[in-house]
Amino acid sequence: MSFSSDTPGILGNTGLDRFDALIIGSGAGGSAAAHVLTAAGWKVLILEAGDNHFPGLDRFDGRGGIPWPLYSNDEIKMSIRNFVRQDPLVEPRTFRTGEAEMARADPDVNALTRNVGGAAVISDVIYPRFTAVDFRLATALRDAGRDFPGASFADWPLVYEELEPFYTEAEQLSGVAGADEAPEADPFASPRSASYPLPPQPPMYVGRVLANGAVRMGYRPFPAPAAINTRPYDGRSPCVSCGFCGGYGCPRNAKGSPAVTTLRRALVSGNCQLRYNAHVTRLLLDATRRRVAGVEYVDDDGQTQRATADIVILAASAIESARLCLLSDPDRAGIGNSSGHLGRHMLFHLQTIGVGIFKQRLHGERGRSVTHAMSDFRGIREGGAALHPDWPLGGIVEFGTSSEPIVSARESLRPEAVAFARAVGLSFKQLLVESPFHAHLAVMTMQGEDAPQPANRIDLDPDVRDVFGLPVPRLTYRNHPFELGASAFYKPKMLEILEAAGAAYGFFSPFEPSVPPRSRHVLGGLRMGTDPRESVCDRWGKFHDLDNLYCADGGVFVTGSGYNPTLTIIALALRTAAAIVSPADPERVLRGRTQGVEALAAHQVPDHNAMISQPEPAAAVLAEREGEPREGRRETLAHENA
Amino acid sequence: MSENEDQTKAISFLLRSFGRRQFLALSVAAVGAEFAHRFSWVAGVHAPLAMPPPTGAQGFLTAEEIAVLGAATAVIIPTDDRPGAREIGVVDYIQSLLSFLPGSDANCDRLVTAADVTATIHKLASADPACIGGGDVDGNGAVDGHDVAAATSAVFHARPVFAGGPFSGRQPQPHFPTGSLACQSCHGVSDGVPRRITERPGSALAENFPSNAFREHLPLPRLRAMSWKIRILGADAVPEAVGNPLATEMLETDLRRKYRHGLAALDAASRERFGRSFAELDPADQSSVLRQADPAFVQLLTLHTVEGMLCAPEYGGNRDRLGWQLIGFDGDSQPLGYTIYDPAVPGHYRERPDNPNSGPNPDEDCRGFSEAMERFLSILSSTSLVAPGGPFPEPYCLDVPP
Repeated sequence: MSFSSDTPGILGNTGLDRFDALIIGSGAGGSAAAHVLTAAGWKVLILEAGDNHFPGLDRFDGRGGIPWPLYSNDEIKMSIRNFVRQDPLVEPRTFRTGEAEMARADPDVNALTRNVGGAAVISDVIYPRFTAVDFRLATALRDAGRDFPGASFADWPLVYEELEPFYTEAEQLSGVAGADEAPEADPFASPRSASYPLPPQPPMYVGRVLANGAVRMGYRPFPAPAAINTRPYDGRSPCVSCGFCGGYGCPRNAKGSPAVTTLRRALVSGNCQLRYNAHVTRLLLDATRRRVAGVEYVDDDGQTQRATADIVILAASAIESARLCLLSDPDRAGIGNSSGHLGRHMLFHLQTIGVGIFKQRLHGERGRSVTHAMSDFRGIREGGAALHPDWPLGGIVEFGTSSEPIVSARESLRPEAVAFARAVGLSFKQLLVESPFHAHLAVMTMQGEDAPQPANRIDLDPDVRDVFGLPVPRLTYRNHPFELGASAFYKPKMLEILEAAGAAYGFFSPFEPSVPPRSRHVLGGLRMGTDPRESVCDRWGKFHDLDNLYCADGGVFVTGSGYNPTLTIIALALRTAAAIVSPADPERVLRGRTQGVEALAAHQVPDHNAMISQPEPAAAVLAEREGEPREGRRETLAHENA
Repeated sequence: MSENEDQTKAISFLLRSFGRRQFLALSVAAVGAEFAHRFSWVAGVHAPLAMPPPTGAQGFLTAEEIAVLGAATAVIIPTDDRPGAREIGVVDYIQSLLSFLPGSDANCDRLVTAADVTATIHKLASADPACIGGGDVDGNGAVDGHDVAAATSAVFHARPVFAGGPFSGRQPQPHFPTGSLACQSCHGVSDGVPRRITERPGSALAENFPSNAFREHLPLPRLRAMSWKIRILGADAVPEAVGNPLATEMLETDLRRKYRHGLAALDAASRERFGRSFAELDPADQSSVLRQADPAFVQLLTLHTVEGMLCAPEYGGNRDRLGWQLIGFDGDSQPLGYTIYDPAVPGHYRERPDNPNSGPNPDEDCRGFSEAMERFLSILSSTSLVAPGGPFPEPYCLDVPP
């Protein structure tokens, strides 16, 4: 059996030809699910639309480590020329703010990436948890007498305590660095059963400057939890604070992104085959229309291929997962859409971006993306279990800056800015040399919670097509007074922090309602819930309408919280996969987890049982599967899920 | 025998065995002749090309166009007491961008060298589809005689669309064994200051700087290759883009045509107004012509000028890293970075005293900006174009004495 592949377009075990599960997308959710399934002995096929920038991710480099990736401190490649981001010239999307409008094709409708490991590979991997009140927000708002007409707040079909063990597992797998003891810890975080696996990140200058302002104003900033190694961990090297972080893949695998953590584990298990540059275009239903029989995809030669498996897990990210459901139904109503909620309740984060220009150089070109953050503007009480009595629900505030000179120069090239500069006798060259928007820039970003609204939705554009000839996603989105009000409430407080930090100038990035939100936090559309009339997926991520289709990405989110969502996506996907392999007791897969990839690397013998679970329960599940008629087993699953 | 001599022999042999008749059958006699002429130039060049080609007519833009382009980018970033677009080599960046063709790495070794001309001829002979797009240099969907000429041209501008990774070799490995990558016993940084280690000549560990992977050309998968054809050649080159309005609307598409038309229009306008070519005008008149030119083209020029100034030098611009020096930017910092892992110190990280992660450089002050910049920032921060804040009354600098 071959565990690693020299075949172009394939990672993992090329010898596999029959699959228990097929996962669409190798991002945070898909990789987490692949890890749990392969560790339990399931044979898994992953289809990834993007390219692979981790050559040899399925093998060891000779010293037990991961071979180097193709990522680098290269602004042209990563930010200017679309090395990883979904390319609007071949895969456009359209946007409008209401049903009455004609949608326009727009180059950036919340585009994520196309690559093995997904968007988290190039994110700043800020991995906070959601808090307890996030999972029952509708009840909390109702109890507080706060009503938001047009918003569709709902409680999640699970509570924080149920997800907590999976949060812990996600943090261990990803190697999250953070502080969990007072006075350093985030006072608004909910209780945790285990410490962060790694100590906090070393502070960077701009983070210290802004945190200083926040402390002077009486707030409580904390070290931002990030899946970035602060010591050697999991066979990966420590971060060196190279500065090219958010928007960049890590050249030394110090970021605990899905590729080098969960996906890596799946690939070295021998139970996984990943085909990249494999663009899924359609799910195929069987005659009963209760089961997905397989999928159709286009490979890198432009040929249409088919793949089948017993179960299918959608993890293509919220917009693309909803789109696939719509594309797979000849009537375009969408498979799994008996509720009519498919594609609806789309969520982003309304980013309120406060900008400070400081007299001194702040060296944004050094450090991680974000080393300090604060939760004081989330609008909740300490401990994360209740709403703040007076303050609205905003979000985490991240203290950062720009590390990219070309991108910064492009921003200061906005025609208005150039016209002003000319008026005061300032040349473009002088703007670049003095570099106020690069070297002297500090940025506070509040990730404000967006109210869910049924009218904010994804459907298929009637006119615009991608290069496959398929209708592209059309986003209809308009912000609710809920989040606009919170943004207006916290803006003056953000200016106070900038002033207290010593800034010379402060202002905000303009809010432009006529353009797409552009946030990379893309959630909702396949909302989970207990009532099949009000939701698309059940509390385990299984489609209410289908017996063998699951969603393991941000699509299942009921509300968006005010925190970066990736850790929650991973925790939910781990839980969904755990429920697939161990329906009676999902948490069983978390027990007995004693060895990671480090242990594997030592003897270089893939041993999938060592990685996540006690061998016996996994084997028992498999035996049960083999001995049982297929349909019968699905009914059992459906029953237990219900 | 050098690599180049090998390639010369291989290509001569191929040309002989391939035969002029077959070239004629493909209606590319002229291409063959041009190729033979150009190859004499290639053979004298080290492969891969270490430096940008001399600014001139090789590549997509002609010598006349290069002259206009050089003058126009020098209006955007003029030379004063500091280097401008000319010294920084912005023209070479743009010429490389326009001369790039998706399949020019015909042998898929991630370098564009004379060997790719050989490989293109091979593919022409054998109709070998090989790697994605490789050999179909001009992107017309077929490997044919035109690709030989196109590959030859591409060799002159051997610049990647996507440079390889992870390291450029400009920075050393960090010091401490547990913090280092491949070079477990290298000691490039002991007191926080990086230095080149050469005390063990001949040993594998003598060099603590990694090799330069930025010179590699990463292959483009099918969809990215389509996108780059749209960028360089326009939407017409990719029939699959027919349902996408962005393929014709976006600024950075159809670049060859836009540059050809845009530069010609600049020259025509200056001849009409001043009776001389754009390149011969004095800077004030050039500036005046540029202000009245098509704003979309000027925007494109400005964007590419900035890219050519601040890109990694492997993309053809930022000559001698003059662009980075101009704005005080250190460039790519891996694998050294700014914090050096050391379990022996509190916090497990050492800072570089010259370039600390958590504070200002030792020689930095709190003086702020020029008078003009202060005026500019005051207006900008109080205007409604950006949601207003304003100047603050008592700015100060943390950790920097006033």
